Amino acid sequence: MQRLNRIERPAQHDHLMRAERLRAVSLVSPATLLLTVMFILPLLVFVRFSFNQFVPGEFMKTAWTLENYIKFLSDPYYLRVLLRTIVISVTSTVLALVLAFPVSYFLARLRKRWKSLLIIIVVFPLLLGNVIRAMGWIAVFSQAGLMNRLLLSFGAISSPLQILQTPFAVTVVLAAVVMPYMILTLQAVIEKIQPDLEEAARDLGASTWQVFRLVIFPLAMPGILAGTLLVFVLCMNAYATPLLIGGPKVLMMAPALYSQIQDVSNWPLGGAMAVVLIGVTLATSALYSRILSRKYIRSFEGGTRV
Amino acid sequence: MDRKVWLVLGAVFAYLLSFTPCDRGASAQSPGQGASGKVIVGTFGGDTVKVLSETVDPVLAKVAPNVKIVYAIGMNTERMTKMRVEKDGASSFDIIHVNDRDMQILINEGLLLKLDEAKIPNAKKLFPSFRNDHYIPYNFSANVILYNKNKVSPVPTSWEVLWDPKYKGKIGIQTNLWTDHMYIAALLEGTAYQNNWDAGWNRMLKLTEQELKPFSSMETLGIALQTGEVWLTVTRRARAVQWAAEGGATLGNVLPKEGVYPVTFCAAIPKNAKNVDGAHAYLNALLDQKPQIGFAEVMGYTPTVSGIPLSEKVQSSIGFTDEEMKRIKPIDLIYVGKNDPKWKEQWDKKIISR
Repeated sequence: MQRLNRIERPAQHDHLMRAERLRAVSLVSPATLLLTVMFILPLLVFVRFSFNQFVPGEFMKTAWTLENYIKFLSDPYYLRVLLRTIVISVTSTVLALVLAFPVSYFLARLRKRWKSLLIIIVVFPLLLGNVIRAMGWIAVFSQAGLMNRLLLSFGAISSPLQILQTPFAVTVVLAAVVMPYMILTLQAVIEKIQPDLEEAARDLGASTWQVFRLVIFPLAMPGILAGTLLVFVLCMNAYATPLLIGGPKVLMMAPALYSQIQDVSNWPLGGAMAVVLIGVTLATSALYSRILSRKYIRSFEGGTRV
Repeated sequence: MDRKVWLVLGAVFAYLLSFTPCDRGASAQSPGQGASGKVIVGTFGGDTVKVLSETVDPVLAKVAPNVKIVYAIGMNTERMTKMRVEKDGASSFDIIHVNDRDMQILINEGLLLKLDEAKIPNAKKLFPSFRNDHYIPYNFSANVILYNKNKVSPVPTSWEVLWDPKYKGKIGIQTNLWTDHMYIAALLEGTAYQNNWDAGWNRMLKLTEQELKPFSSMETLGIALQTGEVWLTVTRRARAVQWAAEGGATLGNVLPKEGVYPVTFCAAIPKNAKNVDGAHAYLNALLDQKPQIGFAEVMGYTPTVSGIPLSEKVQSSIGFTDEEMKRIKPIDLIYVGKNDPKWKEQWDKKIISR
């Protein structure tokens, strides 16, 4: 069939195809070049640094050694930092998903006039820096902050709670920070789900919960997958939020490796930590999207079979 | 007039002119005079570069009008990285600014030029403890105990107050000051100036019984001090004065009787700098009266040279009295540099994450 096509295709069409391809390449190549020069090359340099030897009081010696990786992977302190980073990132992602879904659904089903206004409101926090937002949360969570004052005035507690510098605070603030990304990703996908499908399900006697579980949720799966992945990666690499809200007691990977480089010029260890962080993030993301997309396809097929 | 007369007059004028620069040079003793070209200064942003450009530039412009100063603003790490990667070529800086601890690291790596003191006459006015072959300390501060005047009594006089059980849960700690706290513990053990700071480690561990409140950022510590969440902390006097002026709780500061080491900000010339003469002239201007007063008034950092007339208000808030100056003793930066990464790790693991 393909062969037939080729024979039948006029020469001019071939020419057009080639021009099209050329245009595609020329459109993609600036971005590719930029990414290679400004992202991949520096990254490779850093990977190389991670095999160098650190000399205290100086800089580093060129070497091929695994000692930085061994130091990181054999030290319970650093492993705890990595584990904490993963646990907090997963929890924040789930929290953001649960909180964002209703908002996205509402947004997707809204009439056009109000939609753009609400989307601006959702995007607005992104216009402020993370640091500014963290300072706002400090005003809410600190010992003399809004939350403690409210709890004290209602008599729920007798002395101020320590909320800052706990994993709880970091998880909540991180979820809030990444929320706009989640909402926008979900909203784009939910918008494409025909409201007719929900009506049809209801007409066939499905409850609201059943409509959500059997119709909206599976159909929104690509959005959920993309949103959670994006947000998870952002959480894994978060710097300002864990630093300001968590402090040294809730140390996460990005602040930990930055402080090795900035405070004691230990680039090799910082480099090794960065490589581990990127590796773990990539591996987790790949595994997750594989499991989920397989499950999603199966449930989708199951749905059509009924 | 005859053309010959013009020529003679011209020759006489040129002859006279040729004298003037020599005369001026000899009387003002300004080594910057021969300097010209661009001087690229790698420095900190914010107030630092503001004070530098407003005070150093005019001073230098007077003696070396042909020098053009260009400020390259960035972070410490960026500057040090640039110097390391440019090691074998020409440096993109003629002057770099970092603190004294990082200067020592750069010296160890062989990246700094040995200064020619003849070209920096102002260096003779440096307080003796600030003299160095490779860099010019241009301002300093020292750690003090910052305390809440309404909650902490009596007024602390010793570093020991940090271990006082009365203040359990009320001590804020800046997480990047491990060197400073290691020093304090060693000082109380009497081993700080014998280069044995590890002897203070057990004392440091006892600090955790105080339920320290660690802070990774100055801003959050400032808020905690002003709202009364913490009552005591160790910080530079410059910063202590700034926080006290911002309102909130009434804050006082004291330089403990055991003493402290100075924290200095320094400037130096990379070994591979392009404009060495211009850089020396810049360093000399840095120690002039105008910038020294500027650093004190705008940033709260004290002059490193003697004979700088500070206003009484500035002197009484950020300055150190003669008696206090006697208690400020420099430390062995080579010893500190070698041990610092190890101390940071101990500090991270056993002190501030507890």
